[in-house]
Amino acid sequence: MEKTVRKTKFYMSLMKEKLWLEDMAQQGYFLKNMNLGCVYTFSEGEPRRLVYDIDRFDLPKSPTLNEIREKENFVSLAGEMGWQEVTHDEDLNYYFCKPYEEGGINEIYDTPEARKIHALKYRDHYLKNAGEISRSIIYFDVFMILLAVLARSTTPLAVGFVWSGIMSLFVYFIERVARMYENDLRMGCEEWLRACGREKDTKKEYHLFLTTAGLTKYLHRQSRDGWHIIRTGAVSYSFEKGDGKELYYAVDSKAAVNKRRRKRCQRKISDGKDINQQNHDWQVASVHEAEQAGLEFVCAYACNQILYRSSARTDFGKRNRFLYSWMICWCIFILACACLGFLTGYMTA
Amino acid sequence: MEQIIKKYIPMTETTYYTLLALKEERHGYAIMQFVSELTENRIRMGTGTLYTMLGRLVEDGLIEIVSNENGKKIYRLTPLGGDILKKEIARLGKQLKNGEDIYGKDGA
Repeated sequence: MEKTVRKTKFYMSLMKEKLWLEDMAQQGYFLKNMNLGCVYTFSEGEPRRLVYDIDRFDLPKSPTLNEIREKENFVSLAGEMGWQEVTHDEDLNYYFCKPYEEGGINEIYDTPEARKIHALKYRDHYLKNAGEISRSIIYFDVFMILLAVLARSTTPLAVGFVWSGIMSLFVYFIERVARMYENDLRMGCEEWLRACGREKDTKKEYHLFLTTAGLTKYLHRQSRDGWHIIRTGAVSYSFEKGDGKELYYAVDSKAAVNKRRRKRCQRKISDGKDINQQNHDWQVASVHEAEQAGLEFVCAYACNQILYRSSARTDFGKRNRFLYSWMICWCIFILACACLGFLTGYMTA
Repeated sequence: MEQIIKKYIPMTETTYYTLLALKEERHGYAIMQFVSELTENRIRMGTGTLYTMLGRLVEDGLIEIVSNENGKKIYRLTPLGGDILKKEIARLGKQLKNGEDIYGKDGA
């Protein structure tokens, strides 16, 4: 009787899961079975280097003959290329595995074109789930409204309201997951490792800075230790190992660009039609100004801020004091709305 | 025909070498090996790439499945595929000639 080991672990990211499975194989545990998306059964054996890939084969509502045959075709071709189907879970994710091949191709999806197909498969799967849940919220609400009318009670309305609130959050979460899958899978494994700071010469840190001074000081310190920033999220910072050259950073934002323009008596950059604040004219202006001031573009985050660097101390962007000023504005707005709502409720009662 | 020409000319290197490989009947793994050897390991096709490409080429009628034994499919070029390949070779020849006319034969 083969010895088996059971482990419980939950992975949101396909890449992390795949890397973990490869790590387990190197310790002599080979995936045998997978249940409920988190219970992995391994068989024990001689440690070997294996590579795993995870794929799915969803059919559209009215599939064509080719689409029905897709899985069969894929499994047979994958088999020819050395990939064995290991198992699948309840969500119909299929696990494939192959011995590691030095200098060979160790991914099923090895080109950007093929990766895109894989990424979109996962994205569409999650978006479809999100769509189904959104529809169920509407049906539930309609049912609750009918119930409220029939029973002449407001309780069903309250239940419907709370329930749709919770489910909307859930839908939002699934949509984020879908986007994460798409982003991850569009990258190859190597590229992903770099972006996540898991390679030796990369790292990723999480910090919350409220002022630009705090952020630029932190980045300056990192550059002295030889870490150069390559990417930023709202609170995450990815670095790449570089030479220990001291670099000075500056953050620019729309508000800061407009402040400078006002000072020079130029017209403010604003677009009344642009409700979502997606117009990036200010970024064009900012990059232009920064280049003239001798700064180099590093990276930008959303439509809110741009990061520049230079080898000399700079005054650029000094007027831009607070990071997340847009977020603070939104918080104040929402708080004001809540206060207003509460007050009117209080007054009428 | 017009649409197929528009879609495949100019074609990607992997498509080009796959079509070359399928002048003779070959199965998936043999295609990959043939292409690797011919290009001295410069072009290597992984499972996903080969799979999507073969599927598309069969759908567009450039290649056909000759036999399917135990799920192991053997492919071959169709006359349409041959025509497209010849057109592409002629185009590449012109492209090469233009390059050599301007930059010389050794690219010097």
